[in-house]
Amino acid sequence: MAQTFLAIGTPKGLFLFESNQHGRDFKLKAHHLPGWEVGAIVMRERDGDVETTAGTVHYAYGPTIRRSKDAGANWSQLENRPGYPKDSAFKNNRIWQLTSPDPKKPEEMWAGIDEAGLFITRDNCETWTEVDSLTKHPSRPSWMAGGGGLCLHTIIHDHSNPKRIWLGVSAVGVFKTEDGGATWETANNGISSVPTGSDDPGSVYCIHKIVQHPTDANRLFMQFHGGVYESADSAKSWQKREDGLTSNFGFPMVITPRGTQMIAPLKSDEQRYFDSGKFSVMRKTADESSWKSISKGLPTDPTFAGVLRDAMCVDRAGSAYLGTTSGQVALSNDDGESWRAIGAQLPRALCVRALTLK
Amino acid sequence: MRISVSIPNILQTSIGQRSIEIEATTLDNALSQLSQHAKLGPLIFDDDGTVRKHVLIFHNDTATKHLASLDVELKPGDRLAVIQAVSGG
Repeated sequence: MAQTFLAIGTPKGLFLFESNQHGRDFKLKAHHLPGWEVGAIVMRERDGDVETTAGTVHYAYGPTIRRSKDAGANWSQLENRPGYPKDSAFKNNRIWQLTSPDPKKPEEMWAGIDEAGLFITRDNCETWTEVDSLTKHPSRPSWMAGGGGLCLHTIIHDHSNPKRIWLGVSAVGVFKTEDGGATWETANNGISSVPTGSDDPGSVYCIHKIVQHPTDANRLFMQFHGGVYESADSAKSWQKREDGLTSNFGFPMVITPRGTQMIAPLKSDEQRYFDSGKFSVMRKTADESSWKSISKGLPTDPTFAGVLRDAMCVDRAGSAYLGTTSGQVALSNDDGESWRAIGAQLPRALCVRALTLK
Repeated sequence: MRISVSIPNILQTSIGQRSIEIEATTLDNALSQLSQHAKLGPLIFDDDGTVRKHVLIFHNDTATKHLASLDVELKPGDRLAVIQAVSGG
């Protein structure tokens, strides 16, 4: 039976669940990094074991990178973390995102941080290099933070072209590179701007999450701060796709290998919880043109909570997972048609990642 | 002079031990060396070299932030302690 690990990053550490039956029997295996906020996680198979890299932060001690090479049994703090040099004008507040884009290049990882910046390692996190082509973008002086900070939270590596990458920065916009990060252009055409306080009309977009279609590399989808969008031309332009939605405000978005999109809308920007306390997910399969609400199997008790932008994920097999701001965890093994809650009440779920071993 | 620096529980996982030893003659020098510790330095000191806002370093029973000068000669038996400042909420 396939062994699946489910890692939930929270303000109180990383909770690791394990299943040996395709997710039907998740049990809490361990609570790691207690006392540290874990906002970014990469789990991957490496050297015959599970290697986990976590971006942590503590209000007193700042951000760190932690590493386990044995499915969480042992952890170490790495000496270096993605961050600006000491004489930089920008602060290293938090590590928001970690990615490992190419299984054939396991030494390469990327990181997005707050204050919004992009970093790359080519030696498996021994050292990090700032992608300063982004930091030096002409729009940089006008970048303004959103409620969650000035965060580079989304890094999409084009699965068809390693030189093409899209970034989501709150509350600034979408950035795109076609040359591996040497140069960047903004890609917000068609998105409604929001009042961020910036006086630069090109930097007033609060992107919440972007995903790429699993097979059509030019198709992207976005959950925005008040809007759900699609691009058919690699982010040159965006169009709203909100048929069936009762609310277009939310944070996460995932897409399964079959092209099914899932989001977790909240009542509104001002009221950031499931409308009327009804825990549900909105889903749009590849052959549907409008969104449908799915709540089968989700807790039916009033749930005035939400799902944060990185607290939803899809694994290789297409199973979807989510964690709420009130610590509930649920998964779907049938493309979002039904869900099953995992018995545990965790702290606020910040980051959810799953790995099914080959 | 060898001086022991105790660290909070939560930082012990960073280095696998409860304290470190520093060779220094003055408090200023001891703090400078602490700031250069590969793993502890970034956790205790901010990027501008100042002690992080929610961290206190005690020299014996005195918080170093209350000292007029760090040019204090260390004596045998002196100890340093890194403490997480009580921060409610």
